[in-house]
Amino acid sequence: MKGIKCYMAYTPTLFKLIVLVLLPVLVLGIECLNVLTDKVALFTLISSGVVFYECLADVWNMGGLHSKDYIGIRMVQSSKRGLEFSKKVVLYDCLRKYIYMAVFAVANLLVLYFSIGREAVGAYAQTVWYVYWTSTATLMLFTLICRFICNITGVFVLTYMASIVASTLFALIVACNGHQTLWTVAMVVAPIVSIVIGCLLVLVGCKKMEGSYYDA
Amino acid sequence: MKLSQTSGIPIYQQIADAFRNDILSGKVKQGEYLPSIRGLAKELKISVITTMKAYELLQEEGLVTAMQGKGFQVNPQDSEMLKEQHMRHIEDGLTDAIKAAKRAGISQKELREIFEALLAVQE
Amino acid sequence: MEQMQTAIQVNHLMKKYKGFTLEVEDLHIPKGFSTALIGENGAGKTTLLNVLAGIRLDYKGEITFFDQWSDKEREKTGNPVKEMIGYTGPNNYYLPQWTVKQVEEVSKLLFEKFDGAKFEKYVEMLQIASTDSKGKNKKISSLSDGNRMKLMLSGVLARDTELLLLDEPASPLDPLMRDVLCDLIREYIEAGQGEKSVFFSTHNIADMENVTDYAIIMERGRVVEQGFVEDLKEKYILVKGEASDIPTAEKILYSITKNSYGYEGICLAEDMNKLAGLDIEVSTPSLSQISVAVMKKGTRIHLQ
Repeated sequence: MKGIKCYMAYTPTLFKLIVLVLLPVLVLGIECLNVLTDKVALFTLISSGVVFYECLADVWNMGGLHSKDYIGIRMVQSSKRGLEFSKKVVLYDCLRKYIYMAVFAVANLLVLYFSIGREAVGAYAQTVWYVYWTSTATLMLFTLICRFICNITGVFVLTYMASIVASTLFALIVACNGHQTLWTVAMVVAPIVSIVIGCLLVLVGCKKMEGSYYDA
Repeated sequence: MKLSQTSGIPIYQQIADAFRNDILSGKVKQGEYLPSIRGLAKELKISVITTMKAYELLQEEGLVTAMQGKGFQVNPQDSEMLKEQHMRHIEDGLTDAIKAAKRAGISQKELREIFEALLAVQE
Repeated sequence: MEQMQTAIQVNHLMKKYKGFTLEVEDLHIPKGFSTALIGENGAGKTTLLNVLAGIRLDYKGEITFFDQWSDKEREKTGNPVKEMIGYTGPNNYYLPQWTVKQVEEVSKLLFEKFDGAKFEKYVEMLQIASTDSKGKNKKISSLSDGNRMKLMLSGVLARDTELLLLDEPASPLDPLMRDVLCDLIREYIEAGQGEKSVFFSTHNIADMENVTDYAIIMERGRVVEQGFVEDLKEKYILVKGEASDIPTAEKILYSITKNSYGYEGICLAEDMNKLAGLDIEVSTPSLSQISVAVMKKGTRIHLQ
C-alpha cells in the first residue's frame, strides 16, 4: 500500500483543492510577486500565515483524532489493512506538511537568487533555515494539541496562538543579532525540536489509531 | 407453486405438498433433481431453512433422496412402497388424534363417532 | 442435523462496560444460512457485531471463524479472516467528508478483492447516486440514512466475501428497499451454494422473517434463545383461548395479550399438557411472535 495513495484517498476533496493546491499556489504567487524588498521579512510573514492555515485545516482531516472520544472509522477498522492505512495517513500528513513548508522556503531562496544574486542567498540561507524549523516545530506542536480538541472555537483560538508563537520565535532572529554562539545554538536546536515534535505527532496519531480498536 | 402466508398451513408443508403432487403425478420423473435449496428459496422469496425442511419431509416420505453435493433426487416410485408410505402417514395422523383425545379425556367411543362424522363430511 | 458447519462460533465471550455486560456463553452462526440477531435496543447486538467484525478487540473469550481460525490468529499478518468478512454498521462507518468516489478509492486500498466496477453497478442499481461526476462527488454527509446504508451494502457486495455482518441493515430502509435487501441477502446465500453466510441484527424481525434461517435472541447482554427457525416454530406454540381461562393460562404462557373476549400467547410445546382441559386453539407462531415472547419472559417474573 503506497502511503501517498492512502493519504490522497483519505483526504476530503475540498481539502485537497484548497490546502494542497489553491493556498500553496497563492503563497508561491506572493513570493514571486516580489512585493516586499525584504525577502526574509516576507518569508517570516508567509510562514506564520502557513502555520495558521495548516493548523486550522487539519481539523478538516483529523479533527478530534487525539480526543478520548475518537472511535475510528468502522469501514477502515473492519479491514485487515485498516491499521496500516490509518498509520500511513497520519505519517504522510506529517511528511507533507514538512515538504510543503520546504517548498515555500526553497522558493523564497530562488526568488532571492534571481532578484538579488548569489551573495544574498548565502547571507539569508541561515535565517530561512531557522524560520523553516521554528515554523514547522510550531505547526507540529499546535497540530498535536488541536487534535485533542473537538470544538472548532477552541481550535480557532489555538490556531491564532500558533501563528503568534511562530512570529515570536522569528523575532528571536533580531535578539540573536550579534550573538554568534546564541545564533548557532538556535540553528541547531530548532531542527531538533521540530523533528522531535513531528515524531511525537506521528506517534500519538498511530497510538490513537491502535487505541481506536479498544474501549476506555 | 402458490404459497400463502395466511392459509395457516406452514410454508414448508405447502412446498412439500406441491412437489409431492408433481412427483406422484409424474410431472417430475425419477432420477430428476429438485431445484437447489438455496435457488428455490431465492425464487420463492422465503428462507433457506423452510425449503430445506420441505425437502427433508419429502425425503422422510421416501419420495426423494439427498445426494451428497448434488441435491435431492427423485426416487423411483414403486407403487407398493408408495402405498406403505401413505399407510404410515395415515397411522401417524391417527396416532396423533388418539393421543389428543386421551389428553382431552375423550372416550374411544366418542373418538370413533368423531371419525365417522368427519368421514361423512369428507364424502 | 449432523455436525453443523459454522461461519462463526463463540465461546464464553465477555465484554464489560459501565453498567452493561455482554456475556455470551455459546453461540453459533451456521454456515450457508442467514442468521438474525434479534433484540431490543441496548441488548448488546452492536457490541457483539463489533467484536465479531474485529473492530473491538478488548474482550474475553474465544471466537472461531469458518471452523478454522481463532480470533487470535485473525490478527496475525496474512490471515484471511477479515478479508473474508464484509461488515456494515450504522455509526462512524465512513468519514462524513468523503464522497462516493472516495469510498470506492479507499475500499480499493483496504480490501484486496474489492471490485470497483461491481461497486459502481450496485451504486447505480440501488439508485444511491448517479454515475456521472456529480453523483460520484456526492458527500457522505449529504446522503440520507437509507442511501448511506445502500452504499455500505454496495461496498461489501462488491467484494468477494464468505460472510456478511450487517448491523441493523433494515432500519434505515423504506419498505420497498427492505424487500430489495432481503433479495440481496438471498442472492448472496444462493451464490455461495452453502459456503456463504449472512449475520444481521435487527430490533424488528417482522420485515426480515422470510430471510431468516437461524435466529439468535438477545436480552440485556445475553443470548436467551437460538436455533433454526423451523425448530423454534416447533418448540413454541401459539395459543388462543377464552377470557374465562386467562388466570390459568397466564401462569403457563410466556407472553399473553388479553382482551375482554379472550387471550393469545406463546408457550413451550412441551408445556401444552398443562393447558389440558382449557378450550384453546393452537397454531404455529411466527418468528416475531416467538421473539417477543422470549424477550418478555426475560423481563417478567415467570410463575411456575
